[in-house]
Amino acid sequence: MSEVKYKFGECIGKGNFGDVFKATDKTTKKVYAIKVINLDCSEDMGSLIQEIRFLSLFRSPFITRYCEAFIDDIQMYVVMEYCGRGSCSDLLRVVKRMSETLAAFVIRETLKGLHYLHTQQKVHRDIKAANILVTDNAEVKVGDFGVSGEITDTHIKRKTFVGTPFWMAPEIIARKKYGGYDERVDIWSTGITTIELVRGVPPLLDQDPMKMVFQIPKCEPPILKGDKYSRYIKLFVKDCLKMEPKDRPTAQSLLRHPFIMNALFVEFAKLVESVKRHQTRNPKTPKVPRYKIPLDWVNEDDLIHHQKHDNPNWDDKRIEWDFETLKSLRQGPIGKQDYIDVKSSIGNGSNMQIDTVGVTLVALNSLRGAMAKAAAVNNNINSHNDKTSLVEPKSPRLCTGEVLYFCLQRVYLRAKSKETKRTVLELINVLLQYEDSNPGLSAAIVEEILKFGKQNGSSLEDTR
Amino acid sequence: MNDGMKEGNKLIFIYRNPKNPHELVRALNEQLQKLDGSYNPAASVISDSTKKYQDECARYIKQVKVVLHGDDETDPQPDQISVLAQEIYSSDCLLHLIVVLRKLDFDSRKDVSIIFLTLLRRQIGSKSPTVDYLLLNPEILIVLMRGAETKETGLICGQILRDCIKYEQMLHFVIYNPLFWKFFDYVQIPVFEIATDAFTTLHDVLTLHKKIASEFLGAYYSEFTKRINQLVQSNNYVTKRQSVKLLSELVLERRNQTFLNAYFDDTNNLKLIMILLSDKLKNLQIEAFHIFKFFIAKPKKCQGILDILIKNKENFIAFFDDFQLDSTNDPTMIDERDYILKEIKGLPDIERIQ
Repeated sequence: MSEVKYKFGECIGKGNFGDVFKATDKTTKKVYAIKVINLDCSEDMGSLIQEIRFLSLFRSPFITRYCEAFIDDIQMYVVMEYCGRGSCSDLLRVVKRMSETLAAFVIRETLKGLHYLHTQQKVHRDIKAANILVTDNAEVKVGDFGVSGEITDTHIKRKTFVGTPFWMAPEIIARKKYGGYDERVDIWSTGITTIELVRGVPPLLDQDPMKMVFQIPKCEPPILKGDKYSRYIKLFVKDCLKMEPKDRPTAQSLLRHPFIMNALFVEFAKLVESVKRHQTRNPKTPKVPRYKIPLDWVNEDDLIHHQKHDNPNWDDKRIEWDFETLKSLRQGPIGKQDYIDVKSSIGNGSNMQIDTVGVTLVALNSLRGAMAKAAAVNNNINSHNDKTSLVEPKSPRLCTGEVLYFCLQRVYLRAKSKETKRTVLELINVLLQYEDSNPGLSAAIVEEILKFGKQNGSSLEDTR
Repeated sequence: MNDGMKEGNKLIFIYRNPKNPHELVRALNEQLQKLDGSYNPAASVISDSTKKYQDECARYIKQVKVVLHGDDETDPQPDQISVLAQEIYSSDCLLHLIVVLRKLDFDSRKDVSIIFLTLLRRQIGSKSPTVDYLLLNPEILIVLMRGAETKETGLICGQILRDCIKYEQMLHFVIYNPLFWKFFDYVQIPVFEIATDAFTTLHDVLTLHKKIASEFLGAYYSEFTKRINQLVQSNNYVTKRQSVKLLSELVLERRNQTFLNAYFDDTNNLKLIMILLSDKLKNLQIEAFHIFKFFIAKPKKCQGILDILIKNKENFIAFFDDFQLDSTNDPTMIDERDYILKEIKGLPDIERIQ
């Protein structure tokens, strides 16, 4: 695809799979977020494709909307609804922590999104402030389904380890003990996210993520402590963070929780407005994308941020396969009259017997094939009686070893006397015999000649 | 004003609510017909009357779902389901639903796929009445097979069709229908999710019932190989990788013996796989490897295949000596690579064909 309907702007996010760009539809001028995924880096392309299928079947105001996807080269471009104010974690960077009424609003909208996903038999698996997005109109949407997976009928089939440690439910980590997990992992993560919103950081942040992973299933669930928090939010967090998944309420029932009743849109809209002002004053420096996208797709102003690095996957070392079967050489377009009958030449002019030199008939056939081809080339050239092109005929594609016989055959053609011709044929036969007992010998000789030619190319020319 | 209207409408709806499954299906058919007639595909915005029919259909479809699945208050009633199913069969309601599918609203389309699946799974003793009905009325399957041609409904039709072909007889119908070859075109449709969905169906048709697939592949070796090889050479990375993967699954299936014999004797196949093997992209290389190994492992190789292998002996040795598999962490693959390398080294050199 050389023409693309979007103009790519700055890189607004980087994930494990690829980069996210802000982009504009050239005709409608509508802004989108485009996720770029390098497909050859993914061993399991099937699940990525499955993901897109699900996305395209979701339609809810509480979920970032999928628009389309396309492929260019080895990259997949997933066009999503753009949320202008970024994520709640971007908001927290500005305001440090949210009041309970603000958090209640964010969590309420998140629960609506989760309720929708869960009715669609879908687990998000990575709920956290960074994946809760905010539009310019202060709408809240659950985004980044990068790792969300479908719950199966048995509810216990998930085996993959995904999510972000601090927000991870115990059953994701200790799956064996719990025998799998289902949509209730999102409820746990919602509880952790609630703490994150009002405190600015998730619990246990000071600990090493990898060590912490093993602590989550062993420790008591985190609780929200201190007088500054209301009893409702403490209760809400406690309800979400039940060690036993079955004890956690559903997203739908949590929507009726007293804590959620505190939600205030007006206050949140004000916050978004002030964050917007702050973000305009202090614009984020665009990220340097990890993967290259075609530079002519990129908005000129943003070009400087698109690294002109070489794609590490690009390796021009390609093999030149030879698909000419010997059969096709033997029965190829070359007419029978072009064959040089090695056997009869030997039989006529020399006392050398084929059997005594031990060259098998099949081997001879293969040689004849190669030689016939060479002869055909030469005959064509000879027919023009052009001496210079006889010296440099267009070489047919031969494997290394065959080059030797190709060249010897040319010597045979050049030879003026019958005697010389016979000598050359004898030489070929002897070489074939040695090749037979030392496979690769001919190839080695040719390689050495070529090497020598490369090193001494010009001087060789001169001394001749 | 609008709200008042809506309230009024609602009252009429309640008043008109069908009392039993029999009436419900009849009312649904009626609305589907009206929607079908009033819908103007050329219009950018749907008209008020069309919207009304759409809403009516959506409401009845929801009710059909409730009869089949129950809701928060009531459990599904077997006798009601039975009447409903009977009425759906006798009035060709499934066909109407599928034909009008793209004119329904987004959520109703998904509801239709749920209704379809529920009916499909319905069993009375050892009988599956919906399966029998569909086999007698295969025009529904035909419409489903052409689903990918319509952007709005491609995914829904694909899903339903895949549910259908879980039943052998329906798969048999689909695989031997000339429309099946159309899937090789559908998988190249520019709409990403439709194309990949069509590929999933193509994959399922060829792998779900091994016996049917193996007979088909044996009978249609040339046509199938021609088509799949076109996909293997596609410029689209996804099409390319999926089709190589499908091939590698098919050649792994012992039952596809007739197909396999023909496939691994065809020098053109070897050529395509070798080109993929030397691709710069790791994952294409690996998929190709899983096919290439059978060319090497096949006990009786035909002359053409041998010729190519022998001709490229040095190339292969250089290639496999350098074939990095560290990233895959797959010990069997490393064993396979070493086996292949051994076999290739054991091949006669160019002048020594036995």
